[in-house]
This record gives sequence, C-alpha cells and structure tokens, in this order.
Amino acid sequence: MKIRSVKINNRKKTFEIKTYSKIFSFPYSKADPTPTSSDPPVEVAVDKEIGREGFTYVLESGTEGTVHIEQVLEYNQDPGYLRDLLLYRLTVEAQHRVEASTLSKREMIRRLGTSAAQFYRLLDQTNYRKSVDQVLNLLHVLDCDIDLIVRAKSA
Amino acid sequence: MVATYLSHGLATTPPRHVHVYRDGVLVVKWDLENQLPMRGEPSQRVRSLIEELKFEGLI
Repeated sequence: MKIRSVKINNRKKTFEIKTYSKIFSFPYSKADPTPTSSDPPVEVAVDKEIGREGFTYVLESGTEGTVHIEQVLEYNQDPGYLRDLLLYRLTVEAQHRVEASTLSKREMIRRLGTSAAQFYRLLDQTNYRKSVDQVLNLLHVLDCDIDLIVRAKSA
Repeated sequence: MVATYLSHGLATTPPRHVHVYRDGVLVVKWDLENQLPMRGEPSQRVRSLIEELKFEGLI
C-alpha cells in the first residue's frame, strides 16, 4: 500500500497518513524514536527509498525515524493486512504439516479434489490470492484439528 | 542501491521480518523466523546480504 501524503498533528500527537483508499493515524508513542513535547517532529515526508511504503520524520534534535505502512496498518487493525498475516501463518503451518505427514502428496491432492497446480499454489506462502477457507480445507485433509479462538483484544 | 527496513515485530505481528527495496521497489519481504519470503523472490545475493546483516547482529 502506497502512501500519498503524511502530516504532523502535534495537537493530537499523531502522524496523519493518507493512502489512495484510506486515511490512518499513527500515534507518536508507537514511533521509534518517540517524539515528545520537548523533542517534537519538525519534518515529515513520504519515503521514496522504500517505495512510498513508509515515511521518515525528523525530530527537533535532528534524530530521524522511519515508520513503515505495515506498522500503521497493524496499529489501525486493517482487516486486509490482518487477513494476509493470518493466511501466511496458516500456510507456513500447512507446509510443516505436509512435510511431516505420512500421506503422499498425490493422496492429499485426491482428498482435496483439486489439481496438482492448485495444491502447490495453496502451499505457496507468497500467494495471497487464495482464501483462508482453502488452507483450512488442506489442514483438515492433513488430519489437523483447528480451533478458532475469538477473544476481546487486551488493552 | 538497496535499502532495508526491519519491522520490529510489534506485539501482534509475528513473524519478525525485513523488507528489502532496490531503487524504491520492494525486492522481498523476508521472514527472519522461518527463513522464507513473505512477498517476492530474493536472488541468492539478497539472501546472502540478509545473512550477513543477521551475522553482524544488525537485524
């Protein structure tokens, strides 16, 4: 996700980040180095070195810091970002289970009722176009019990 | 020119990972815990650069 613009809001003590689809805020307290009232940010700009996927700020003391868009997405609990993260973790787990399984890959493919190409796409951790549902099916084929725990977020 | 950006792994974002950019384009998002690409496909040179940075304790 590319950043279009970023602004300093010293009153709210946040950075205001505008992307092509959404506007996010990111509190100073989550940035490192942390801007303070005695050392506030005086400059901020979208960082082109990291493909406009982050921004760099300069504090009054001259110290520089960089924030990546993923930190912003995580802080704002962006659903798309969290979904990709979940998919990645499930895929890596599925890869370990496939390696450890006594089932042959041919049998896994047969039980999934899919093609070999689709099976390998499911196991590709860089592929975010598959659904969580498909990876769950694969884990079921691998005789895994999947418990879904929904809990309130701690403060 | 290669720029790296290390995610410091905020509380809910395992795994710890690093982004590698070349000329403003993402080359790879590399999972430091599982040694796997999360996005992109790194060349052998990028892999060895990541290994060097790890060895030097910079990431």
